[in-house]
Amino acid sequence: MIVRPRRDDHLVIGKYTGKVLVGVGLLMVVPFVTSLVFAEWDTAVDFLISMMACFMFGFGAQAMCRTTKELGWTHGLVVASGSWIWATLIGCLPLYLSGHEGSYLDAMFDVMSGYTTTGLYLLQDLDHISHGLNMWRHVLTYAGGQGIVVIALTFLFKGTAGAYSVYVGEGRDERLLPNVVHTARAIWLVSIAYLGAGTLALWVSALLLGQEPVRAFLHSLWVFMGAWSTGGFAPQSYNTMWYHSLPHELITSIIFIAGSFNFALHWAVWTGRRREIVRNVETVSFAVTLTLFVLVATFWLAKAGVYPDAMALFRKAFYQLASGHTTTGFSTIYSRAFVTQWGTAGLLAVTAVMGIGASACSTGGGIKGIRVGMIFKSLVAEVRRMVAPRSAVIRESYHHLRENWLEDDAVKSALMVTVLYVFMYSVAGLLGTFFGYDLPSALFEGVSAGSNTGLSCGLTSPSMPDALKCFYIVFMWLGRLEFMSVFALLGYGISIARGR
Amino acid sequence: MERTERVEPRIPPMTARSNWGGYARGMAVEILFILFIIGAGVVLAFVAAELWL
Repeated sequence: MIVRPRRDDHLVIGKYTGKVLVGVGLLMVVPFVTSLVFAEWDTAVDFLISMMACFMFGFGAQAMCRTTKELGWTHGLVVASGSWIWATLIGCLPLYLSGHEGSYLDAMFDVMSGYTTTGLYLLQDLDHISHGLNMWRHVLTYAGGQGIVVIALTFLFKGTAGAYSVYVGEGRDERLLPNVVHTARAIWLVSIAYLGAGTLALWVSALLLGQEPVRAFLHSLWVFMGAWSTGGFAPQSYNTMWYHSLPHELITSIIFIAGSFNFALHWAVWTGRRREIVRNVETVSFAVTLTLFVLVATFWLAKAGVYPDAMALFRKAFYQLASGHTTTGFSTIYSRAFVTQWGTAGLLAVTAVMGIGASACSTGGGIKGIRVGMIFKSLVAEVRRMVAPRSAVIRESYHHLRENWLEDDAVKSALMVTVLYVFMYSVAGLLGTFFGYDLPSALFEGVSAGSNTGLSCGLTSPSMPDALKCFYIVFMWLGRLEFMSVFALLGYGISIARGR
Repeated sequence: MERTERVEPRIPPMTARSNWGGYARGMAVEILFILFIIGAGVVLAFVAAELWL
């Protein structure tokens, strides 16, 4: 039970939420400068207004909520979940002011989709938006992949004891280094190193495709941000298909699969424990489930004769499934092709991999490989227990950074979160049918939103019902934060209302 | 008799200096692993195509 919050509790939450909003304002400097460089004055003014709003609310909240109280566990969780709402409400201003959004709700949808690295969007005329606005969409998704709070931890929180709870509240629970602020900085180190290497590789590929250098650089940077953060935003409405390039598909596949790995795994491999990558339960789980579903989809698509040769079959089947499994959302087919060409089996295979999702403590979403691995191991242990003599002691272990015994508490926790995800996916699918869509499509789109993937079979559009947009915003938020900090926020609200 | 067990640290120790060569090798190992997964996908596609196309 959460004890009735007192004035000090509100103040500490307000103070740290203000810090996160200042962080969002500082992030807008990047697209603002981009707009100035490309002489996009209207866009620059939009960003100036939005930055002022962030600073006004951010510094205002800090000024109004002066307190010496330290951030506690519950505060951290409430700050983490609440910050995402405030950051969405204010962060969508540049998109709304640009005139490319049908409504403020549509702008909020796009920004929540960016922060949560989902990739679904309602923005209109994507192919003709300004460089500044495109930069903002991709900075949003790149920052969201690291976690808004990780940014704040890195630059603004200065290592307070409660910072770890904010970090956990954002759906992460791995400490790469003993200090949580150092952990946040290690996450940045990995991300920025890949940013350099990935952008360079994509830039060379774009130059070979014939793009002029500056445009090639911008596209490479944005595509990298969309891929690494497993976000799925792209500068063109045709997404990866726009490039029609095998090297581009190969490079983006490497980036988004790397982006879907646990940051603790990256850090272990980078600090000398190379064999971790083939032993870790998450990479093993990912390799097994991806291979299994690629098998189902390729055989189904080959049997249905959708693609003319093996290369086309590989490029289409593997890319969509890997993109779905890593919860990226890049695609090389038209949205409606999932329904019109891939059929129910293909659609359900992609839905399943999206639901499973990426690794814990990565930029990706979904149930997560570690939970799937643990539940599978637990199932194996149960079967072994059933067939073994009564006196036998059966214990199962899994490898994640070291050998861990499969304890009942850990399995219970994995099952609980898995049940919550499955429940959310089911509700999302049923809601889609309530609004008149067929069940496979509604399930596909609902799972895509809830697992923060962003692949679409055509349901997500500005003309979809406003209520469904609101539900998808909530699913994206819930899926990204893995429920607990959202429940903490709800508990906080209820305890205020009930007075205890 | 008490038995002590040497436990591998869960967290890689924080080093004073950044090891850029080690980071680059780590990144290369990750990319090779991903290429291996992609290779498996290629094989599957060719097997499927051989059977049905």
